[in-house]
Formats: sequence, structure tokens, C-alpha cells
Amino acid sequence: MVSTVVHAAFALALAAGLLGEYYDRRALAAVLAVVLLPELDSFLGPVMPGAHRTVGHNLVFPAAVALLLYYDTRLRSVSVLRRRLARWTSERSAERWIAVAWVAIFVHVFAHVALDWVHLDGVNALWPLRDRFYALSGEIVLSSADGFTQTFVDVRVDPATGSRQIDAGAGGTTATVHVSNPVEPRAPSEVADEPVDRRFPVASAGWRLYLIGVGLFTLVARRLQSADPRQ
Amino acid sequence: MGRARGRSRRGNRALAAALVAGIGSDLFGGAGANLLYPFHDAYYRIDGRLLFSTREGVVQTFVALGAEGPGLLPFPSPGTTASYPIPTWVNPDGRPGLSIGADRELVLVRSGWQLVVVAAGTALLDPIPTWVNPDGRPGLSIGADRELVLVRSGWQLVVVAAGTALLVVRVAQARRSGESDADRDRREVA
Repeated sequence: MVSTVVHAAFALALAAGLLGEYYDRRALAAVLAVVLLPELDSFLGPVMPGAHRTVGHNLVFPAAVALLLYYDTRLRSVSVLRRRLARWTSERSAERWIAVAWVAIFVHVFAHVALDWVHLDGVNALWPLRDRFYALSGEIVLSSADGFTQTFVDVRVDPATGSRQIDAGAGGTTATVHVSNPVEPRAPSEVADEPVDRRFPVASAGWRLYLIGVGLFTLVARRLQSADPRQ
Repeated sequence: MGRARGRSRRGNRALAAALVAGIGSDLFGGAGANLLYPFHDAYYRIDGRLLFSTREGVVQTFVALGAEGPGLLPFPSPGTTASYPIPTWVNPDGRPGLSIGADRELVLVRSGWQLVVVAAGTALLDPIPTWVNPDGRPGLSIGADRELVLVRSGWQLVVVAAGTALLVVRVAQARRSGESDADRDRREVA
């Protein structure tokens, strides 16, 4: 996995930008919980092959939750969620928590699923609709020789048959892919005599350390900014 | 006083943004940054790993004490301005000289994680309402008030009026000369 610390730090930076007037400790805690809980799919690994990066790391569940939230709070004449929240707390904080929920969905998709999408075997993006891991890699270049070039989604047309092949980084399925994690440090199929080494990464590359730095910087800077400058 | 303070706060924010986004992204795993320049000439590149392993304990390779290279700071140094040219879009070989006709590459997004950061950052911009998407936020907003602004202010009206007038004059000119041409033809045939 991209380290949980990196997910949390990037989530903090994004949440600080999106929460606006709702930015406070409770909102941050709620967003962080939504971002980090999907990592628990590691613990499903022993009972379900390929569960890590599948159950908690797809784009289908966030999309479904977003659609439900949109239907309930915008389209319905009476929103069940808003009424429940208002009964527990107050009308105003019901609006507030609905806004926080939107931020949490966004941050989960970008700070967790998308960052894991670019790491190792990627994520099982369309599970449970389609069982296929996708890994995002490539670059976008403006070249004086080749013009605008992008290699994230490779579209190739076979000149002989005219059939189109699209390579968006599709890999194996839950049956063939195992993304190592501290719960299952190696693939179940792998047989080795060495003792088990569980590794808990904090940052495995410079850019990940950088994202951690940016997240912490944002947290500190927001705290200093909210203080009255005249005092 | 208040304005000066406001300006200095904005200045602080701009400086912080420049340090974090401008230098940080090159320093951590990018091409490198010459941190102490112009006082001391050496590029630094912070790239490595920090993890806890049940067998090896804490493993850390970002900070390298006594690392080889010309650097003073305890980070790996790939070289100096003389020994480590960094190619850019403006200067493709990273050396003095014009390099006219060289192949220039402007890398917009170098890898997947950079695409993720760009995509996420775009959503942090202030929502821009348009005619198609009136609140500038995701969602359909069916039944919302839609405004297609044709002219937003006086100077735009002046530009539109001037353009329209130009068009009318040109059409009128063309028609007048066109008709006179046809008339002349008819007269000549007759």
C-alpha cells in the first residue's frame, strides 16, 4: 500500500481546501475516518483472495454513496438523512454534516483510491461490477518533435485489422493479484522458508515524504491563519 | 497600517506557496534543488524510504550522513551546477548556449501520482458558474436559474458594437460594389 500516513496527509491538505467554513477538528476527524477505514480490507485477505485493494479501494462504492446522497438531499422532496441529522443535532449542523459527507467522498476518491491506483498493481476500480485491477501510469508531454503526447490511456489501432486496442493499465483479477500489506506480507501462493517480515511503510519515495510534509504544513498553516493577526 | 499588514500576510502566503510547491516538488524526488545557492553550489535530492519492519526495525534512507558528493547538507547530492545539468523546456541540454533546433519537451504530468494531484487540485478552485452548470459544482441543478451572459459590461458592449458596425459596413460595401459590378456588366452587355 501507499503508506496510510501519506493518504492521511494528502487527505488533510485536500480537506483543508474543501471544507471552507466547516473546517474544524470534528470535520477533519470525520474525513480522516472515511479515508482510512477502507484500509481494513487488508483483514479480509485471509478469507477472501485479493480482498485488499478491492473491497475498500474501488470507485463503485463511492459513486453509489454519492448518488444516494445526491438523490436524498437534492432530488427528494423530504430528505430522510437531513431529517435524521436535524433530529439528532440541529437544522444547521445537518447541513454542515451533509457538506462534510461530500468532502469525505471526494477526499476518499482522490487521497486514497487514486493514490493507490498509481501504486504497484493499482486498484480493482470497478469491483464488484467488474473484477479487474487497473494501474495508472504514464506521462503528458508537449514536445517540439511529437506535439502533445499522453501515455496514461494507450489507444492503438491495428493497421491490418483496423481493430482498436485500449490499454488503460488493466492487470489481473482478485484470483491472480495480491498486493502485499502488513496483514499478508506476501502472496498466499508464495512458499518461502524465510520468517515473515511485516513492513509498515511511512514514505517509500521522496514524493510521498513531500506529500506528508505538505499535509502537515497545511494543518499548521490553517491553525496560524485562523488566529487573529492583531493579537 | 492595515493595508501593509494585509500585504505582508499575502506576501507570506505567496512565499510559503513558492517554497512548498516550487522548491519542494523538485527537491523531493524530482530533478533536485540547489538549496544553499548562491552561498554553496550543490544540488540535493531527497528520495528514499522510511518504514518499520518487524525484522529490520526502522529503516530510513532519506537522510544520508556523510554521503558522497559535493553537498554540505546530509542529503544525497547529484552534483553541482557545473557537473549536473538539468534539462528544461527552455534549455533542452541544461548548458549555456541557445540550442536552436533541439528537441524540446515540456512535461506537463510526469507520472500517475502527479495526475492525481492535478486532478484533485482542480476541484479546489473556486466554483465558476456557467450557463450549462449554474452553481459551478458537480450535479445537474435541474430547474435552476440559468443565465447566459452576452455582454457583461460597458467595454464589452463597445467591442461588440464596434465589431457589429464593422461587419455592417463591410457587408454594405460588398453589396454596393457587387451591385455596381453587375450593373456595369449588364450595361456593357447591353
